[in-house]
Amino acid sequence: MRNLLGFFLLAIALIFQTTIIGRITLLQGTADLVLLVLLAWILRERREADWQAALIAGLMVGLASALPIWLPIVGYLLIAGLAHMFQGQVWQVPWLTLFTLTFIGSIIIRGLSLFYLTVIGTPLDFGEAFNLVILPTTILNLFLTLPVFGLIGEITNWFYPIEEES
Amino acid sequence: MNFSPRSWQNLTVVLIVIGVLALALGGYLTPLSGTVLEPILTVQNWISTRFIAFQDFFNAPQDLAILRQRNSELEAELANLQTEIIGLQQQVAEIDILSGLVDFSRAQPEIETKAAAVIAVDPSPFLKYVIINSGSDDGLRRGMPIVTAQGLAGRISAVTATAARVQLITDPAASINVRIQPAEADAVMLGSITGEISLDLISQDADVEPGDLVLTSGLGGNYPPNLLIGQLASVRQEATALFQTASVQPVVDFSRLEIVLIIINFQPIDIEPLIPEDSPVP
Repeated sequence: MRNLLGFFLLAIALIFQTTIIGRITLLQGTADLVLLVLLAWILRERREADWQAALIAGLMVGLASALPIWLPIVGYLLIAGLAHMFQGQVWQVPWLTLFTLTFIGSIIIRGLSLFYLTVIGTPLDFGEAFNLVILPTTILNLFLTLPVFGLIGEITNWFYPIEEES
Repeated sequence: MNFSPRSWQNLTVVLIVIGVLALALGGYLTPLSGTVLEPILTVQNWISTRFIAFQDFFNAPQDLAILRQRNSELEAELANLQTEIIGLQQQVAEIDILSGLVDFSRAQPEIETKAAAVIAVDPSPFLKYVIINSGSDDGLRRGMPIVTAQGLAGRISAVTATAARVQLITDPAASINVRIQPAEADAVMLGSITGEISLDLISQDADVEPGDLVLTSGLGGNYPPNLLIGQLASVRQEATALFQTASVQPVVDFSRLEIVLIIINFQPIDIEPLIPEDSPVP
């Protein structure tokens, strides 16, 4: 049931991403709400099934985007793996973990897209792509990461208050 | 008749009163009454003003509560009216868009169109794609051009039963064969990561200048000819370059894309098998 809640939250995040967040730009960058919800979910839950959430997130974004479906899946699985690794190392400082993962995750997701588009021959200038998309996206993600983390925490506490206390 | 002194007094008083009344009714006492009444009115006014102030002082809290209540009611009413105005403005904007689309369809009767609403944008900021709420169930096919009342917006890149993904002409991977009017010069339009569009491969001999119109040429078979894209904003001509380049101001406002028309009677032609491997034709 907890997984279902996670998938539901990711689906809601994708809907908001494609309808509202995707239209709010800083230069050409947009916040990646799915990434933020995924990270918040993984860091809140600290369970072995992180990769399932990452897989579902990647699948949903892959279906909604014109990018090939495997690209977001690979990106989000990489981030889930990193999150798992970080939890074992520095999870005692959750805010540091959260911000570090948001920073690295933003660069991984956008960097993978840039790499793929460059490989297939889309005329993109790397400097322009970094300055206008990757950097603003990272800043927006870092700006939103705490509110999203808090919101996901509230929602999970609301759905599973007893389990949270135990 | 035997009148007592008391009766004479009463009679005298009555006559005096009648006389005074007669004088007053005749207007002969006006200057006198003004002089007499002025100090009375002054005192009356002074007392009345103080009394009203005194009364207001004690009644004010009650009035204030009533006023606050009334103010709240009016604020609520104002909020409702503002909401109604916003709703009506949205309806007007929608009607404007739809009437523009109807005008476009009427102006080009050879083009069969179907309207659809833009419901989402691509999650990746590198790509300029939108999703519309019509799909193969509505007769949409891959490659069909998308226009607005202003001009060309893009073309369908993928279709599901109930939705379709549209590649906008501003997408970095978009490239369209265009013609510049009135110079009759051919060029290739390219999108970019910033959402700006530019022209390349304009012949050095072509006499193009800012303000010229950019339309689809129909070459390549991906788009029907003569769909308006925009106007030249600036032209760059270098003596050492093979071609001129130009930036284009699109006629479509891509930041406010809400309702679009799909040209359903245009079938794109795949000419790739006819193009030699090393040809630069997009």
